[in-house]
Amino acid sequence: MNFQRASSFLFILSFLVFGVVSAQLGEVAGPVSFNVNISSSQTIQLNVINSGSSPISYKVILPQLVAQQVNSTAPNITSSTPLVGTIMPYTQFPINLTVYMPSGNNKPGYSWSGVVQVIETTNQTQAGGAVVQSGVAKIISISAAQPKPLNPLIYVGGIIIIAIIAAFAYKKVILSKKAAGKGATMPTSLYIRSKNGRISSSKPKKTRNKAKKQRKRVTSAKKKAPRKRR
Amino acid sequence: MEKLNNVDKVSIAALLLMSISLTAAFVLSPLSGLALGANSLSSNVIGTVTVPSTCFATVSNTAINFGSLAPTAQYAPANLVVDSNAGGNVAANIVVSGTDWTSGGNTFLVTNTVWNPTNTVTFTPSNDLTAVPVDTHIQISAGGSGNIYFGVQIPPGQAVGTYTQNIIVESSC
Repeated sequence: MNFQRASSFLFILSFLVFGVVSAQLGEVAGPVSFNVNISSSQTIQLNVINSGSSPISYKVILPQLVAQQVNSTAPNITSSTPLVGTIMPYTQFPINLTVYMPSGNNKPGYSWSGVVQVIETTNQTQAGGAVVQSGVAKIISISAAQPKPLNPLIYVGGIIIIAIIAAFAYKKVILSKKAAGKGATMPTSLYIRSKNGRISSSKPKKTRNKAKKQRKRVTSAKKKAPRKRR
Repeated sequence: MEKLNNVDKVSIAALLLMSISLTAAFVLSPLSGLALGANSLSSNVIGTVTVPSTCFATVSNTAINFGSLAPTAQYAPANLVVDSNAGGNVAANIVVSGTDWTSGGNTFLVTNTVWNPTNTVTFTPSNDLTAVPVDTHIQISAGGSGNIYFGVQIPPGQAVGTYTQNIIVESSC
């Protein structure tokens, strides 16, 4: 009876110990391949799973990329997810990785590979020997693609903006010319001397048409006026 | 206009209610032809969930004690059991990496630690542990388990000390 009790106690204890020390980190399977246009970036989400009933402290180690070609410029890898944190129990935790492909010496088809590591961090210390940490690793591959062609909409938008600016500029010039025509540079008054010697004046703000009309009036009056016989 | 008495009011209200209920029954009657009551409302919500392939791996212990070793001595093998957590549904590849051995200001290289899928750990040639993760090609099926063996060699003339190292064992799928 005592033996049974002891064995059941040991079983429970071992289960508890195993539950504490065993890592519960997992990952969603599948290759992670970036195909990044030169001078552009691409973001891909990795999913790490905590299948355990307690939170897991983690640390992300971004890869040291191995180039397949010599004289290539290594892409820049960043994570918008904090590199250190905690994953809640029974949670699928997303890690967003962004790869920027610099132009440098890169040509389409150049490729790199590396391993992203998500390691369970523990406060365990070992007085001599090796501390074993567990985690998940995702092998990633990156390849360079042709630079993105500029979107034709950008060209069209640019042309429209230029046209609008030109139209406004033209309108402004016309308005300023009109304003100038209304008398800003005209003499303070316009004197019209008719053939019969009369002098008529028009206000400067009046348009030339008005002056013309006045001139017409003068000429018509001259026509109407009877000629003096000598 | 004649004033309505209370009875009329009640009957009009009843008629209105009837018409509303009839209208409701007409609008909400299911197209599937199920025999439901006049005022019954039924709607089907289709739930979908995609279960992806996942892998997990756990290690049997969190420390390996290689004991006391003199310079140039080799220790092999130290066994580490790797289990694939039952939560996963595909096989996991085991990836290993590590850090340099340190004791205060003294160090020796991570590559002095070697690994092997079998207990015949050899130091020449060897599978050196490196700072960069390496695929061991040890595959643990879902729910299964496997072994990885570690050994260490102390460099000649290594300073006295108690050295520690981190060995990182990861699943990859």
